[in-house]
Amino acid sequence: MIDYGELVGDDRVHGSLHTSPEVFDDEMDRIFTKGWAFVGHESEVARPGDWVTRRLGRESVILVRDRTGSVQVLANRCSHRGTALCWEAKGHASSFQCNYHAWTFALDGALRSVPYPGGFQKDKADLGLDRAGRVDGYRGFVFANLDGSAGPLADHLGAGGAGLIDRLCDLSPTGTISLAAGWIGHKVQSNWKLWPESDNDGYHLYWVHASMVDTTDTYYEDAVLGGETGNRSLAVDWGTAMSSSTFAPAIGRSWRGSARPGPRLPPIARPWRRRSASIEPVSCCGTGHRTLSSFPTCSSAR
Amino acid sequence: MLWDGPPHALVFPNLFLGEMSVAIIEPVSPAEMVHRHTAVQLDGVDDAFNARLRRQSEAAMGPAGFIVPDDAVTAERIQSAMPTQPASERGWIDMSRGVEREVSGEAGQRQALVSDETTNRGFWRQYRRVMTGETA
Repeated sequence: MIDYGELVGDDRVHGSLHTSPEVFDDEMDRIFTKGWAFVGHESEVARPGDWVTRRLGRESVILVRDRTGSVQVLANRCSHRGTALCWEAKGHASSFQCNYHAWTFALDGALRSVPYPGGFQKDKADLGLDRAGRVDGYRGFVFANLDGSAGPLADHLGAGGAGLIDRLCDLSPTGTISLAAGWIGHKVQSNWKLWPESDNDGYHLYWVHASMVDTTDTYYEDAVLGGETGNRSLAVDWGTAMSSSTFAPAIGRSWRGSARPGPRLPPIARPWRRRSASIEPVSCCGTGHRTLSSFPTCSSAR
Repeated sequence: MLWDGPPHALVFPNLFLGEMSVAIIEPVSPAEMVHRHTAVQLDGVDDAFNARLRRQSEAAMGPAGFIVPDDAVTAERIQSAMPTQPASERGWIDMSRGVEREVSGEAGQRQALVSDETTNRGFWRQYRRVMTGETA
């Protein structure tokens, strides 16, 4: 029995949390089975029959829009002998058929047909695909709680998490976004928790991302690269969501291209400097939006 | 209405809102994971604009981009140095930066300078709440 209260202090954590198989097992159970986790976006399964596969904790799942238009999160695992049903990252189907014994499932996971039915005595209604206990969404972001024991998604997101999703969606003139442009996966030999740390860390930019700092000119200049007291942004903990950059104080100047004319690393960062790629200046693509950005290569503010 | 800019934030446990990219953090085993990302595309704008967002996302998060490849090297170096033994006085990770200058915002949120480790402490506070059963 691991004492997480001891391993996670207020201002320090123990490194074994990144290496212990027992900790990993507990996380898959308590965080990814009993809690809410992000699965995908409704735009990825725009039409009935559209599906994508995702990993949710230890399980491969299928995010699919069924014939009624509802989004389902189904186990990617035949209820007969456990074969994975979908092997591609995404697709479109009228049903899911297992390639082992051709059991066929409807888009909502119901078992439709079993070959050689004479020898099969069970009720098909009892052998649908396992499905997430709870599925809910917020502004197109689909979350699932595998075992169905978690409270409402709204409680999990909190006002902070919902507000951050709002801030992204409200950049769109229609209030809606799409996440269907294709996904790229980086396989990394590290514990997963190092990414919530580094993705959301406003302290490491000068050193880990020296090539970015050296070659790009964005609102980061004012937001996070101005030095410890010179920067005009905030790190915020909302409870279940954390924001490492609140750009509002830094946005409000005109867009300036993205390529820097020359190096500007501070002396402290020079030992980390590497060859920077040659980057052509780019022109602004403004469409009337005031602020749009994609770190690190562009920002527009107008 | 758009002055606040895009979010740069984590929604516990696995959703990263990376400005105009979104990423999913996928655990695989104690020492392996997949960082999966896509470009945000806006509805109601012309495709040239969305194409630009795709190129930007590639430059930020893609295999030849500025952000994720460098972070991946760092993550693997951290992993290689992590202790495999249970807690002792050795092998602690410090995240104390900025504790003394955190302040409460209007909604009760904790905030400090962007270079402070408030977000890291926030992740681990939520982790501790879940792992100790204080909240689901």
